[in-house]
Amino acid sequence: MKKLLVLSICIIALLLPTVSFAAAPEFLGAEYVGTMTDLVDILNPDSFSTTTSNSVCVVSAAANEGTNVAIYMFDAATGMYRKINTFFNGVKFEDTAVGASGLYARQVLLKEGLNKILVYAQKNSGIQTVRLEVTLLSEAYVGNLKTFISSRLN
Amino acid sequence: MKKEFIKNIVLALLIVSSISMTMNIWIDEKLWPDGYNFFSNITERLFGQKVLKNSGSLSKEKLALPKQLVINNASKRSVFFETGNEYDEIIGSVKEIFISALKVGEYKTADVSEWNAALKAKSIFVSYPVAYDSKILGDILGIEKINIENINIRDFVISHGDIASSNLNVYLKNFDNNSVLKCSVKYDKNAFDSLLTKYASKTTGDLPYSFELNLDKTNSDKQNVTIYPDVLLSIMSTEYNSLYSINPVYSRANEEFETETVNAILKNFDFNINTVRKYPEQDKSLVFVENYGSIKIHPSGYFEYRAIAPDKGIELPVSDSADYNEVFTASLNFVTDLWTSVVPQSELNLSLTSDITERDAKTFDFTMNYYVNGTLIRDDMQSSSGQIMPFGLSMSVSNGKITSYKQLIRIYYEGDSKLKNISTIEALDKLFVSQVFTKNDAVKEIFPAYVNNEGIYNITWIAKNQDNKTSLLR
Repeated sequence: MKKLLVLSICIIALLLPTVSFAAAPEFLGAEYVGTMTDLVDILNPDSFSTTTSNSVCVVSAAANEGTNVAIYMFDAATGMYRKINTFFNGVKFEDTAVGASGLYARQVLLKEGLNKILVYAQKNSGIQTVRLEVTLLSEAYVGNLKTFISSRLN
Repeated sequence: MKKEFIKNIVLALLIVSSISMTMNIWIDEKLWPDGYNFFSNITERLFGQKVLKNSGSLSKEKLALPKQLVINNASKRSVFFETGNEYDEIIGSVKEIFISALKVGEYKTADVSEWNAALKAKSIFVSYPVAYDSKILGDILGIEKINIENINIRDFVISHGDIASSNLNVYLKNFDNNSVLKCSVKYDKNAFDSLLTKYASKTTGDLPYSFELNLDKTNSDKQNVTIYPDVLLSIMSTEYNSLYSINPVYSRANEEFETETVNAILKNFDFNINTVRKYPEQDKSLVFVENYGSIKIHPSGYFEYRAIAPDKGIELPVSDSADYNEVFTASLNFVTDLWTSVVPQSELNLSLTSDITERDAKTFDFTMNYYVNGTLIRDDMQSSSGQIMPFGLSMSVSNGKITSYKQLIRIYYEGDSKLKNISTIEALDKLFVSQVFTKNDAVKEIFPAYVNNEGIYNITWIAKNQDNKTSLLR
């Protein structure tokens, strides 16, 4: 009995940290939704759906200190959201929690066309997800638009 | 006979030329720009080599150089600093456009959204290291009459403007109240476009402005700080070259002062090295005393000059009716001359770090810091009384005389190894933890800097809040 009790306590003690401070998972299902709504506020892009000619989008957000935030990109091949990892000189950045300033910012490399992005925020056992759509215009399209405008004005 | 005739012609031409040049001088028309050395130029042409000169002087030409150029071409953006080769190729056009903008005479008020839009569009964002009174800036740029006065300028934007217009737009930001003035300048737009295309190479995602990420406004109660709109942010960690320094004033190996260096310092302050009284102090400093002033030189390379009274200071070579411009220029020449004589083997890499805005002042102070590749170096001076000053040089001038002068003499050089600097947001997090910033503070400026930690130079951040309180992240 005593051994069983001690074993149970050990298992609980082992599980607790992983439940509370687990790094964000590498993949999330296409329909995955968090249960919270007030962990993170997206500052940029400032609307759910935006269009850009810039191949790098910076997602910025505000969250309380200690909130873990990660960015995911939808992968049509797998039908899942895949976490975007950041590297510095070939070394992967470990996920860090939002600091005392409350600010968060990460670069997202876009592909041409529609990019489905998911922002994942976790604090303690609460999780919030925010979906964004950013459409990257092709260079050819942008070039044609400029030519059209110039010709109209000349 | 023919010889005589030719001689007479040549003589006549020489006389006419002399009279003409004399007339030019009398009516105050400059024959060549400040800093131009006729003899140096001739020697160069004759012998095909550069005559040794101080390449890093604090001449007006150097002061006319902005600290930073941000080239923006739609989704591409790059930053260039004064020491870069690309900077040299861009700055000529920038200066030409800016001079036109200061002379144009017709300005309209523009709002912040137009300024921000210009930053994001095809443009060059130009920043000086300090704010200048527009009249002083005009004088530095060699403009006889500017048409915009009583405004302090540090930043301006040259924008491509409307496709329909053949002119560029220039936006001048008033440093004191952040209001913006806009004017139209004639310039070859194709040449401007080519400049942008050639030099804007990175993406705006690598180097966003605060307003592009909506960090310039409080949009969430979880956001503890806002960042001024045109502050550039490093989203990722960045790398810098390691930094080392040499103290040419004191030899640690021999545990003695370098006599030549010390004598050079004394001579610049008109101290007679043969008759000056010299006293050692407990902290191993040497104190030199003349009738009207004293100089204390510390083994660390720091020295300070003090006049016994404001009217007994070192006279600058200015006229009795000298205005602020003349005194300011003479002060900078003094700094240059001192450096050249004390450390002739090293380029002068000091830059102003105090605003030059009090153009009617008879008494003023200014400060300078050392820079390397556009990055400020915080190698603070410590005075004899233990006061820490976050500068490499500070100078007080009163009625054309130097009354106080403090400088840390250092030669800096970059190493081969790399230093990693954290991102801007990580830096802000740390500043918050140390309570340098508190909730609802605004970050007016934040930029990387080298800092001396007991002889080892690390890379870190310096931030300034809305009240101009400056903090170094240690």
